Amino acid sequence: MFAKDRIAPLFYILPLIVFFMAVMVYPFVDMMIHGLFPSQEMIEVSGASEVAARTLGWRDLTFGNYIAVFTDPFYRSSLVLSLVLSAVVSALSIALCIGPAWLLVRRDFPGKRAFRAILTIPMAFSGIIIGFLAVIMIGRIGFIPQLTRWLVGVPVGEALAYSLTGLGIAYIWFQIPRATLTLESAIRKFDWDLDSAARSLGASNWQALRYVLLPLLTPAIVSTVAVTFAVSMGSFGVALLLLKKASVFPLEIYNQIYANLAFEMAGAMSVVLGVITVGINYALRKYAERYYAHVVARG
Amino acid sequence: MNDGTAGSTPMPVIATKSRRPFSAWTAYSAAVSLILIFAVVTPVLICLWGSFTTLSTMGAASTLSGAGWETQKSLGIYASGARETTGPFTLLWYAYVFEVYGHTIGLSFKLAATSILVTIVLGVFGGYGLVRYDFPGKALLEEIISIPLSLPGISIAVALLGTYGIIRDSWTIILFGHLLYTLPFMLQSVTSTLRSYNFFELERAAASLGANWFQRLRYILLPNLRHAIIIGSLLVFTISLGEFNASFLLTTPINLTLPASLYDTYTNDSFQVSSAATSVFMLVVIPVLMAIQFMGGKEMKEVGQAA
Amino acid sequence: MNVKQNFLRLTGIAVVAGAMVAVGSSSAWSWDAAEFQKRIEAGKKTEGTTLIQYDAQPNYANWGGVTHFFRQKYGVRVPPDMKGSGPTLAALLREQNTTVADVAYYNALVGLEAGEKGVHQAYKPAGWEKIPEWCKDPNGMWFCVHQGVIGFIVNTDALKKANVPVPKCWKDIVDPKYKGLVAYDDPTVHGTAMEAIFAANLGAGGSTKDFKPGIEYLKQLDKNVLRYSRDTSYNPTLRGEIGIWLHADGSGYKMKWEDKGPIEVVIPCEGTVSVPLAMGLVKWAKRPQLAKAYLDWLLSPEAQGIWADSYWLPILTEFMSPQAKERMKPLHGTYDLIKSVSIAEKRSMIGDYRNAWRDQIRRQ
Repeated sequence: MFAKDRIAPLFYILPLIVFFMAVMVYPFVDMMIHGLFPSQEMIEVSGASEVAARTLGWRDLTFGNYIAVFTDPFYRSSLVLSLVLSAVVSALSIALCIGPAWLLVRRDFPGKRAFRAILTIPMAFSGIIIGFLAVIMIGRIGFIPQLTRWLVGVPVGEALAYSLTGLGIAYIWFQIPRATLTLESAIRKFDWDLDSAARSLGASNWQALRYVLLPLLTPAIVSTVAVTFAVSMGSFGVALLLLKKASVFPLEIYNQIYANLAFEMAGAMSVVLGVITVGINYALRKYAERYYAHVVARG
Repeated sequence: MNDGTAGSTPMPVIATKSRRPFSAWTAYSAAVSLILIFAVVTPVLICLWGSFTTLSTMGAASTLSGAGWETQKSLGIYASGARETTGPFTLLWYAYVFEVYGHTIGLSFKLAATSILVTIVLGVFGGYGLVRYDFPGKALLEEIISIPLSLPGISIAVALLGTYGIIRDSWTIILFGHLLYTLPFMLQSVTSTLRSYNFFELERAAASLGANWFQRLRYILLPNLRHAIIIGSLLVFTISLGEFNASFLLTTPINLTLPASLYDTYTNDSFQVSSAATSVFMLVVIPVLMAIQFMGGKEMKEVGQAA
Repeated sequence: MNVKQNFLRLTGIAVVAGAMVAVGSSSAWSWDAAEFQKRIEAGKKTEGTTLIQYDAQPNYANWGGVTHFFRQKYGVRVPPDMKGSGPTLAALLREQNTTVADVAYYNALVGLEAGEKGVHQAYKPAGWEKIPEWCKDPNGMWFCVHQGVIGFIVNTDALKKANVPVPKCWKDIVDPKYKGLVAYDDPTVHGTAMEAIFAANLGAGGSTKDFKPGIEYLKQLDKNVLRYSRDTSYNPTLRGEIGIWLHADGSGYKMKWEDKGPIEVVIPCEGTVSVPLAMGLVKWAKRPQLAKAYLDWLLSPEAQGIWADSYWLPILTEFMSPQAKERMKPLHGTYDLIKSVSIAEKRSMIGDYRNAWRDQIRRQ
């Protein structure tokens, strides 16, 4: 083999390690620690003097910010809203896109390549653009309400964009390419012989679906959920433009920085958001892998 | 895969086309697909139309007075209705977008280009090291590398602001955010190519014939990675240009990226101007996206961070 | 209204030129355009051609027009910035000496706070003596540049669709028939919105010492509120997404006469307050020469004249052209409804009032 085999990996890997340490790991840990400092509000409540006049020491460290994320109804409700919204959007995206994904794998039709290409368009856009497009389509004077008013006299979906439903629709729109492509590549890996074998043994459509297709499909669905859930949790731009009364968690973080001085609180919230999102994503991915290895690969 | 190491995935079975007749499921799928196509294409078309039109639509006047734009003729404070001057279509909105937000386009391109260069260097070397060697902590490193794919942009923006606040007024702080989100894709692109064929035997053969490190790099590694690097670069370009969540908090009025400036137009300018600004973005990014698609980029589905 | 037609015939230069002629002979301090030009050129050589102002929203007080004029004439670009009063102060406090801002613009209440918190440096621009006493800091930490008045900006089309009449008073808009039509910006963030809730308090019978009636009123109003915007609601109101926007009148007049929207500006019958707006020189400004020149320019006949023509009352009213005066007279003339409240009085109450709003209305 090559000489210097021990040092060689380090030579190639070191820049990577340095990069991720400097840009991700260290700032994140730094933020975690800063989240332990009391925010201005906490100081005012506890009656201590102004932050500006006093330097905070080790004695002041507290988990107060982190606890507040989960106990203060204001923050907790936005966290719960983010979680619920992300879960619902993931489920609906998959339900919506499994049909087209199946079509892409199992049927040939003219314009198939263009069809797939068109479906990937939403992926190019960042959140605020999607918010803008949502306002165009289902805002108070959006295209769809105007069209339906012209056609049938009743404006359908007027101002829908500003409600939670509209936000969810915008999220789903954004997930269309991701869900479709992930499902497509998973379906493509199917061993259809298993399906034919089951049927030749007399299984009905329903049984084939339940005992063959669904287990085959589960890892695909779970890993798609992993991605769509994480993206929805982190989604900020769409909510920034559309949500005016309710609030999702990333938006609250933004409010803390933008309007208040509560940088520590924002940091604590960012840590919580990061840990929850990455954690759930990791867990789902690992589950999908193990499911695949244990259930699917064994046939 | 060819070396039969443990843990390789089973050879995929090529899915046979369904021989069943046109079923209800197919009809349903086709209907859903048509709806999706409509849902995807319509907003884009309306946006493009809005960028040229002088019609007073979407409730907002079509004048450019939303930002104090003057006509060339006078230093009057507000423009008169564009419709009176130029007919049903106009390029005024684009002209305005370029005048007021032109520098944001420049910055976004600069960020994207720099990201491409840095990720190529880090990605090629890092990817090579990851595939070629085993070392303690490799699994952990691979997990760390994949974290940005799910890490919310705003979290990392807050973290970067806290740690690198000193360079807040420099565009490099935005670059950090962009690099974090683009590097995993370049790495994926490179490593999946390196893993997929007998690259290292080529390299070994060359080494036994006397090629030194630099020659191996130049004549074996890079040419074979060309496709991966191209696709990776297009991906990095797309992601960097569209990055908003992290960039938004990191931008300042001096360093404004294109997506962040779009936010300004949505809240301040008329529908026409907003559409023009958005169309500029779309017209740059969508062709790149199509190029990636047609070049067979399988990594597209994981572009995680743009919402 | 003939006023509108009169205005449309005028160009900015004619207005400004007229004002300069009217003024040049009467005031002790006269604006020397040539001298100023030299100052700007000198500044540009050492400090570049960009100046950063925190809170320079194009549609608010026509900063778009003002900055565009400045750029066309003097070659210095002041890019738009969407921060409101609150975020501007928060940003300066957070960024300190890493800030990119050179000057800051806020509601005078927040400007006062900013001066106290030490993010400004003292600077008395040319024309300082002519600024009324109540609208500047004696030490030069901040000074007003123009003012507006709180009113209802009503989109008559939206109201027609909802089949409700145009409201005339504060007590009108709490009526359930206006549900979903009302909006005001987040008062923990936007200075103008702070003035709006202050005016609502006075309209509901409160005083400068007691904001309980105001909170009760706003709680009632909350049922009708569509949203509390973080960013400006200018476009949504113009488009009809918002029916009644509680904001400064100047924006409404611009919507009505320049953007030709179906807009009416209503001054509530129980009374209202004025909205003074102030500028300060940022303590850590990286382009102090340009910044000082810019601040001087904002008190010049040119800038003040632009504001007068943009339907905002300039702080140096002598720079209003006769035409602008004519136009503003019926508008501001009927404003005996403006309750006279000093900035200090407002300030003493607004902090707690804001927090009460946040705790009782926004957080439920």
